[in-house]
Amino acid sequence: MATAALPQPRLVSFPQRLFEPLPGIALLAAIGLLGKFIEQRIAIYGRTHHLHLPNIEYVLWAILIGVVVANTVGVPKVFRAGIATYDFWLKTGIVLLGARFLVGDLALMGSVSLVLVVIELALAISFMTWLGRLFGLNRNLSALLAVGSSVCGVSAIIATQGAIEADDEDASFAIAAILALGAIALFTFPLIGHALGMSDHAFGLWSGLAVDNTAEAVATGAIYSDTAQKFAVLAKTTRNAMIGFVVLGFALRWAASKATEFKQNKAQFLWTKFPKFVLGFLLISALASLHIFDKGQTAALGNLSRWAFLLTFAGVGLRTDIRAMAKQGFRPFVVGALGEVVIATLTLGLVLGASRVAHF
Amino acid sequence: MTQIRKRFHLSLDSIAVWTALALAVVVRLGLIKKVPW
Repeated sequence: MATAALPQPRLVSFPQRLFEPLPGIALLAAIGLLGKFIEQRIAIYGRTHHLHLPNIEYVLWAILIGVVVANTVGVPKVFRAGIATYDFWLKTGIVLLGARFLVGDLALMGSVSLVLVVIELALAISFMTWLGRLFGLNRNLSALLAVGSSVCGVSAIIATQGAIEADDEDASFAIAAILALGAIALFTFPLIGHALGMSDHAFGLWSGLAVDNTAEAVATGAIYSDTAQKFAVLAKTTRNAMIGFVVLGFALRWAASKATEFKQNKAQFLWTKFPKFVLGFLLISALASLHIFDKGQTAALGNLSRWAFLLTFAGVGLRTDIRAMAKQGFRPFVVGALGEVVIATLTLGLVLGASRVAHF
Repeated sequence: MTQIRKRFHLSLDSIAVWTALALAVVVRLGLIKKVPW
């Protein structure tokens, strides 16, 4: 009997797999620490030479170093498994950050965020769908861009792709556009925030509402200030919590357009799509509100969250592949960019209006 | 990470939540007193 030469699966033991991410995690830590070192050296240089140098947060340095490494020398295979853990560090960091929110603050700012998020979702979905139609993009790609720019970037696009049976190509177009625009927001939003003299609260809410991918939204807030990062996380987690409703809406519309029935239980569908780390964030916040942690312990948890974010931000830079983004089509990028500019302007107006009403 | 998730049938979110809760317990028990930044 003739046998075909099939590629043999790599046999790697479980303990080996456990150690596989370590080099990549070490690289994330090294880049993050280098970013911190550069920030501190610039501050020391300014002080010793009596110069008023702008304080550029380590976040921006870590992302820049990551982008340069990934797009020049490239990332060797040995580091890739570890770099892919950046999403885990992001979610762990967000849950730990819950210790720095009291439930009362969450209820107040969370309700402001929720109102703004609902308005942002309605505006963003309607506008992106209309823009996609105007530029002649296919219906699925328009839907993916609308979901990516209104809810939470990559995870929302992947969830919707399954629900509306969109092609992998459409999903990769939409993901590339959202990631490229997130990278641009990282550098432009803080400049706009400073130019408008925005408060930390207002800037954080704006970043959480207008920047699409969670890692980039948190990083944009962190570049502005520590408090802005906190409020970016709050607004972004509120947006993330809406993912199930938006994906369900698109799935129902898709089923109706195909004259088929949506077969799944809707409550179960919503639970499956709900980002569970939001529950962890609320739980830690509830524990902190019950004074389970003393002041020193809250500070320790806050700093653990900062270390988790340091690894995340290095990962954001390392996975930014400029060449791959440039290869994606021009039209989806233009639709994404136009949509993002309009959404960013609208949400900026919303946040500035809300900050006057709620005095933050 | 993917291998670990598949092995224990865990989602990334649940691993992140359990890790954060474990760290919170460690800090609450005083096993880590101060985290420098």
